[in-house]
Amino acid sequence: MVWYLVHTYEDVLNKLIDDCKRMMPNETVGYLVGDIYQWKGKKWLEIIGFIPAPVQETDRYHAIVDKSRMGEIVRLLDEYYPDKIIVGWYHSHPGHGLFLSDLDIRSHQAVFGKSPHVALVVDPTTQPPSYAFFLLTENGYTRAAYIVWRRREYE
Amino acid sequence: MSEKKPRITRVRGRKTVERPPPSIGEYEVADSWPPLSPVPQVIERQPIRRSDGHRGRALYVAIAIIVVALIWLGVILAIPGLSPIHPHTVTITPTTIAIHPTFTLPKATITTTIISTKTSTITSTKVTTTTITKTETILMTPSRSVNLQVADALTDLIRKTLQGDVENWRMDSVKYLLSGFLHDEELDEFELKSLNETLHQHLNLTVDNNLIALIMALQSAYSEGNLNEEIDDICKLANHALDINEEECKSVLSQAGGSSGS
Repeated sequence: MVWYLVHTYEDVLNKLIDDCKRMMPNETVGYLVGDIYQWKGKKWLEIIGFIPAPVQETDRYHAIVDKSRMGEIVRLLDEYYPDKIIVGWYHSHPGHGLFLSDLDIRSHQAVFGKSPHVALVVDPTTQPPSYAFFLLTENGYTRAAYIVWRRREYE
Repeated sequence: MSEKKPRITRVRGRKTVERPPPSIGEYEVADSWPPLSPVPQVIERQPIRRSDGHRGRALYVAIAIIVVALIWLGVILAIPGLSPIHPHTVTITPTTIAIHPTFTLPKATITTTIISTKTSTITSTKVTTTTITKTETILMTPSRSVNLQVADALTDLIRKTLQGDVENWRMDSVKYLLSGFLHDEELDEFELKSLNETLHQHLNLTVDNNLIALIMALQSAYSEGNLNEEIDDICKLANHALDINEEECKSVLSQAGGSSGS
């Protein structure tokens, strides 16, 4: 039985993908917001939103976060997602495919060394847009199992 | 301002809340990986009613089509040459190296078999020719810096092949991609698929066994530090994989040989 580590919602993911598309052909980067829970001894992670990161520079194959403006992230987190935390990060690979580069792995280790933070990679150039969640392992990285939920319309 | 900072540090100290993940009862599944197996609730939402005979028949027809398609796919994959990735022998004549990339799915481990043929001639009253064939299986475990060199060399070769027909940023993104895929010292199925899609999308190239063999040969040569000795065979492989002229290939590789890749 697969344990789905990542749980998120279709509307959240669609908005995030739209943000990646808006930045095309350049890369975009940001943070995933939600919380980490436990159920029957296993951790799972809920993503309920995201915050695009202010970038210092960006082009088709890299985006550098402007660290001098990290305070803005914290303020946005407090304002829009009270009591939630950053559970990972996302960035786009426009036309490059879904994987973590050496630089991505180093960035993840530096900022999100604590498991089970995840890295979401989006390729907004494919039809439909493709995406994958990744987790670091001792030898590199692996794909994380995820479910995207669609909210039911109640009358 | 300093009050805001503890948000991040506070997280480490707090206890994880016990809470069940969302369930089918509350939501519908829009997407999942690995795919979630069908659950009874989903079937209940679209019952096949007795009065709706057309829908029932359509379901049987759809199942029959899927079964036939799966059998057909199995036959296609079983026929050597039709499968996109299958064990294949790259034979170059005359040569001293044959590389057999084999894939064990789902986690592909690439092994290389090197067959070296040594011919010795002993002259006495008559001439005897002895051929020694040695087969070795080597697990490719090149270092990260080697893979950067491989990514560098391969993109240089592709750039030379497609001279003037491709924008620089496309080549740079392929290089970025290659160094990313090779970081864990092997290409797995998922990476091969993404590599294939990207090379096809950007450069109209298909990842076939010749290209995989070229990557492995470059890995081997850079690992062993014997690019100059192997350059003839590698350029024959490059000629098969990329249709690059062998002399041009040698010129590209002799320039790329000393670079550290960045």
